[in-house]
Amino acid sequence: MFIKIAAKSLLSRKGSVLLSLMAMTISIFVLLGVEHIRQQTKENFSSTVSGVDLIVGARTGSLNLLLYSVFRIGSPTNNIRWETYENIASNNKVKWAIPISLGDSHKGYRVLGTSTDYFKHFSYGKQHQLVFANGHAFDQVFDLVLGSEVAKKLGYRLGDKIILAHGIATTSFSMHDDRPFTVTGILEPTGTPVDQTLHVSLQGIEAIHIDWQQGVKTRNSTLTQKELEQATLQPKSITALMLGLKSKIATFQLQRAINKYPKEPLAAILPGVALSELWQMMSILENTLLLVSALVFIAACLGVSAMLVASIRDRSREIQLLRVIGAPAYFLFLLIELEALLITLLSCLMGAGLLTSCLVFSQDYLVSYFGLHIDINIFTENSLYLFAAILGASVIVAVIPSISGYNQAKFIKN
Amino acid sequence: MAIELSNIHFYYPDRPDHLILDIPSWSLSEGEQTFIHGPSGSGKSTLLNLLGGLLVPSQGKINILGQQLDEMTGRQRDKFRADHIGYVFQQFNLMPYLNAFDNILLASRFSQKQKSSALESEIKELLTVLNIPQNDWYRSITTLSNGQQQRVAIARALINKPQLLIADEPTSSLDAANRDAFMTLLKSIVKEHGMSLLFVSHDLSLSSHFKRIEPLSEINHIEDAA
Repeated sequence: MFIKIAAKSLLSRKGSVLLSLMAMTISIFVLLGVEHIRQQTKENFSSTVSGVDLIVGARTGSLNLLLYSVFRIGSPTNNIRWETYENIASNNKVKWAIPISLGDSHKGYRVLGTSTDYFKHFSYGKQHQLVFANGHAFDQVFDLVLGSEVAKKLGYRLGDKIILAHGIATTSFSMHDDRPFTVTGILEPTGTPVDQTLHVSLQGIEAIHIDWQQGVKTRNSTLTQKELEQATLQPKSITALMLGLKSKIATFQLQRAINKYPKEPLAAILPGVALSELWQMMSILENTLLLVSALVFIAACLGVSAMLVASIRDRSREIQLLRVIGAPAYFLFLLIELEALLITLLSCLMGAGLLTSCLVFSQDYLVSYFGLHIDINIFTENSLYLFAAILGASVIVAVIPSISGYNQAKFIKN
Repeated sequence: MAIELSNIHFYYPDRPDHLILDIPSWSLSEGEQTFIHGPSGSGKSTLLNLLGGLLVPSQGKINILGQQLDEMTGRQRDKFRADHIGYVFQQFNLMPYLNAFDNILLASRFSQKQKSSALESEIKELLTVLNIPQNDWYRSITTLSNGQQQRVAIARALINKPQLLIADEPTSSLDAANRDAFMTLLKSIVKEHGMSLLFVSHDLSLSSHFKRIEPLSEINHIEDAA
């Protein structure tokens, strides 16, 4: 009965209540949206790489090395000599080593030259290995493995021919059109940059760059595809390498040794530490966003409070009637609190519904343009705490009109 | 005694120099019906608020149905009012956003008396007795006529089976035909339930329905109350 009175009372003031409801809904939508995207981005970032103990590249900042080697963002400052890779890979503390070579692209997606060890040892999330949805890893020079997103967006299937572009620009005029690759495998979705990557062998990368100097094709190769496949295509350099160690205890020791490598300047980073640094840098932005959305919510709460305070003046007869039939003064306090709570609860439902709808419709867009895999399910432990905080805040803000209603009920005048 | 007042003084705390009620002594026996009349501003509503425990006297004793109202806490007075006193007003008798049935149900929620499982059937019975058509029970109260609304108000006042019924200008919004019908109905219900009735109005023509008639000026000794 108590809830019915509050609901009917709100319904009798449709106009002002609807406006408050809309303001509250939008503020909760913004607050939940920011929090959900923040959480999801954090999870995406931290699950991008796992099981890799060290990432080694040319000497640069740890964030830059992490960004270009794992997230395919930005460019490396320099390459690593192949001999260096062999030296490090043969270290007795190293269990496995994955060389990676970046620099080419296909329709805006990055091409990663690597070895088949990549598919055996690279893992993401909670030690999830890469799994083939179709086909297999490359075993010929011009074989290519697609990330799930590339295959889906560009509609590629096994056996399709793909021409890579030199450089990483979305629109490239330097094409490796004389050396097409054949799709031999398509990976399962991972929710990481792997999905937006085309994987080829290091030999494939070497093969398409024969007769190229300073990023420009100097002459058409006289070697046939068959001859190239049979040739020994030894890479001269790579962009970076990922290391898995036999013992975690050796990590810092090997990191120090690599950082002091005498033959060329190198940097070795711990991916977990670099990810934390990256997230720490972004925390200023996320906290600012959260603060702005919290302020929007507080403004909406105050709007509801103002609407309720204004309504008290028009409800003096209603309050008197309730008192006459035996309602205690605190009933009015609770009634107004309940009204605020109902508005907030309904706003929470509408805000959550609106956010879910937006996520459903924008999921593909977020993946395509930002590489963000945002879960449609917004009901996480964090969001439940947020809902509780929202309801708590609305109860606190509604204390002002509730006290006003209580006072009017307590001190009846004719 | 249904009501017993002695040495009542009342003024609002924010205006202690302005005495509104000064009632040396006044009483109403159980089952008795009285008609009190007086002009607007003579303190009628203040007196009714004191009798209902919505206000407490600045001085004096109020005994209602054997209970010392002025010695009760606010919460005790609220419960007492819900259990023992029924009210019918001139207007805004009912919550405008509830239907007839829910208005009566709401009144029963604050009383300790009404906990029976037959409450729903009691409400329906009251509405039937008071001649409210069944298809109006769940309609918005604002769609009912003034006469119907006043009858629903009586049902609301009676649901907790009060021993004292206070009617404050209940016929002011009714036309002559409805007013007479209302008075006849009210009197018969009061008689049937053995209630005491305190009927307050400025309309002296209604006094013909009562044996005991008192001007408020004879009860309230404030000369300039009006």
